[in-house]
Amino acid sequence: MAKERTRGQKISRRAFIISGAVIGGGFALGLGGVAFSNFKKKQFSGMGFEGAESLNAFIHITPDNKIKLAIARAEMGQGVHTALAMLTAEELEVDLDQIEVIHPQVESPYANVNLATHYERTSSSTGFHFMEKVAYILPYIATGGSTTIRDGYEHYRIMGASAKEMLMKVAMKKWFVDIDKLKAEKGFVINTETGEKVTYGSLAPFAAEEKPNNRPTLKSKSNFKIIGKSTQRIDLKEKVTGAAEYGIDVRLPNMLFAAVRHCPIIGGEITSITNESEVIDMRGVKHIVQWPKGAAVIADNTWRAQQAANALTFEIDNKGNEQLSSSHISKLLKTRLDKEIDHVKEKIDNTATAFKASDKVFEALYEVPFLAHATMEPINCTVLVEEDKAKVWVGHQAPFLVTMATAKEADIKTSKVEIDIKYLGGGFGRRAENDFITEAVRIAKAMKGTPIQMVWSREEDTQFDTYRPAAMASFKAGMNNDGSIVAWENHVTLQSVLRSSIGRNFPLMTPPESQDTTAAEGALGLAYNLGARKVGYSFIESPMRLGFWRSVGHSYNGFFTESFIDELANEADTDPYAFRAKLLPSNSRQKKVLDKVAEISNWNSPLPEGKSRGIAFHESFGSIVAQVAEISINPNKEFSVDKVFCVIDCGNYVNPDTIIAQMQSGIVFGLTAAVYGEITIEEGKIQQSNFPDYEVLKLKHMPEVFTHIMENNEAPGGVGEPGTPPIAPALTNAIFAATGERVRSLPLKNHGFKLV
Amino acid sequence: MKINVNGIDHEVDVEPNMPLLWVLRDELNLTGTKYGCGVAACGACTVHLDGQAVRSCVLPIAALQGKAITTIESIAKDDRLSRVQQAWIDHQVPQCGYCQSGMVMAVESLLANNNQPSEEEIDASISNICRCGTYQRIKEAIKEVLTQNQENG
Repeated sequence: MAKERTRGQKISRRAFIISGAVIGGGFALGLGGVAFSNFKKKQFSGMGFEGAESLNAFIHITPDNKIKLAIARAEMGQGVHTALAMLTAEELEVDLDQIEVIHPQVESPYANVNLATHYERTSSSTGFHFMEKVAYILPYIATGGSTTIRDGYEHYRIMGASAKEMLMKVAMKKWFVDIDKLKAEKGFVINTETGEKVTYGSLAPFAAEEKPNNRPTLKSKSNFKIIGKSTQRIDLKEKVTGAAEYGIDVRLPNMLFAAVRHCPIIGGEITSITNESEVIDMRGVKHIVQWPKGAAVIADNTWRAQQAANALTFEIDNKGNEQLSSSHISKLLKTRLDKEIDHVKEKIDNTATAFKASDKVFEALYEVPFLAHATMEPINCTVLVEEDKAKVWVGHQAPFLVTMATAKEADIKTSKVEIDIKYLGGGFGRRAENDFITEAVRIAKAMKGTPIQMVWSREEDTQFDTYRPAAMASFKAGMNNDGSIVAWENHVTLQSVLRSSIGRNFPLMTPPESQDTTAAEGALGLAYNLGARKVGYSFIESPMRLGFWRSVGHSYNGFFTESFIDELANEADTDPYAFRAKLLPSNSRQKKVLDKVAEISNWNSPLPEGKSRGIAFHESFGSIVAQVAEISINPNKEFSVDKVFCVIDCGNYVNPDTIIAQMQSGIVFGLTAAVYGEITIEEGKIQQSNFPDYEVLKLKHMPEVFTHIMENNEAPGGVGEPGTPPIAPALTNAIFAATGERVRSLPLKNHGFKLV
Repeated sequence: MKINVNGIDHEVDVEPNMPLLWVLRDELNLTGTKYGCGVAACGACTVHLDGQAVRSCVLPIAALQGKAITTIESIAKDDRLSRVQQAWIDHQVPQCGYCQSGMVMAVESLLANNNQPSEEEIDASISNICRCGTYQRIKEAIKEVLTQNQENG
């Protein structure tokens, strides 16, 4: 009990500082995030909460005893609606099926403080506190960086517990009994002396008048009935019956459909449409809109709009990019790599001295290509622009960007923008961008008063993506004859994702490139004992549009570092697992995860001829993951991934079944990238356009994944992304073990390997 | 053009070469069938044509006169889920869920035509794409339905 109280006070103290600063220091509202959430007198705008009593910004109870729970996090498959509902249900004492999830408007209580401060954690505390304030002011409503549970683990429980206390207080007054005679259960308050029971729904109008407690007592872990237990997702039935509504499924009276073509030259512009008079006469076509980066046809049916858009012919200004190619960018990366590191972010002792003193020095160069997100649901957005207001229906990871981009493009106030956030048919970072919101509003404002659904074709989705950058890395390690590493240098070169993405979405906040630590995330702060270290990055410039791609910097640095470590194990003539184990602090969480994966994969047992194993270990987004890939491979380089053993330490967790699903998901996503993933550029154009030339893993390729979740009482870590980084090196390390061929660039298909 | 969807006749005023997918989604507002690629590569648009799984994004409506089309919306009867749908829930298959209409339709058709497909047959016939990587659970869910098939003779 004492421990729980401490936890509540810790949050409150931190929160107090925030709110004081937000308001200006003179007026202490107190308790920051929690208080924002408890500020229930606020009129909650938008749809969904009508007829319900608001006990705080999150919990709204209807007379028929349903809980309308505000969740401003994108459900894109990662199970956050279910997990956040579980956290609430645990403390509020309701069943999960009493909860209905409502996506609220863009309001401060729903800010994702954890994500807003995500890239400040390794920087100064000034930056951290600044971003914390910014998160509430904007407010920063977004889903990404595997932060939902890290941000919500305590917050949703506090909201549930606080609401329950308010309901109990009303029951105390009703029955004139002490609180210890009352029990809350399944949406009822029960008088344990008389057996009388009353629904939350009937107490709620009175409870809403009670003063909320910003530091309610939370349950201890040992008393959890829901949290930590595998629980059925709340969105399954609608997703197997076709009833689930994604952005692309929005249907409104009188709505029209728009198809878009973008300038085919990267960074180029369309100066004019040369056949507008012909296209406007095509069946169903209502309007044609053109802007520098693209053009759209509005028609009465998506297919007619697509046919007409495909018929458009353009005059183009190449902006000098007609010679841009993958090999050109690759040369830029290599040239930059050969110079000194621009931004050294980790420096321990003197590597030059350590190299001189070491017995042997090893070097290697690694490279990965650009990647597309290829969400199953192509990019789309539905907008209705009226004289002084607008409404947007979309599946999106950053509703605050939706609101801002819409207001800007429609030239109205953000308060005049209403959003309706739908399920996302995949996000992976692509749906955190506002480019397609701006386009949809631009198109819709050409026909004010008519709702217009803009849908990009798969080809446009592939060719106008915000790509995972191509990246290159050089490694130099000094080793002694006993196998210990005494010096480690790692230089990563790429184009800055943060500058590209924030520059597009949020120009005023574009950070200097030196602060784009996404570039070296997964290369910095490795848990291994590597002796003297120098790790950093340097950037190149290119007209490519870059964005966040599931696991971001970890997606390439995980492959780079875990491959090179494997090379060193081989140079030291040591088993790859034993080599890593020796580099990790004994008794550390990291070591336990590594040992566990060796145990569940039977690492030390021999495999039959034609089979091999590879191991990889990577920390990201607050979680530690180790994987062993077991493959079959023949002399023709045809291979299958038969099994993947996966161990994750994500601290305190919510829904184990979701974690298992996310490990499978992250592994498939990473395997697709490792085997096939490659966006290439020739003569200024993206070469891939659709699934036939941007291949992805299919059912027949699926390995059997075995996941083990570590039990401990650490702070929650992320699960949506950490499963992705280790699988590429686990696979290529297995290929090395079988063939002796070290794969230093992806995808594998370029090295003659074929997944069968 | 005439079209029979889920047992109901519709008269739609569209070009003969308009793919079935867009007739379903934009003319009849049956949005359970999804657009994924437009080139029959991903299977998100899978429906049944006289009981056989087909990819509706490349199927011109002129070719469908007099045929019976079934979409995901009519797989559950009176809110009673099919065995495939129930197995999908029991094994918590869907993540983002966008491809699952097509997956369910592909598997329904496979099992309607072959009560006990081998693993190779399943691998060969279910070529739909899922970017969330739900394949392992799809396999497990299919296995469960196969076990039920066996028990039911």
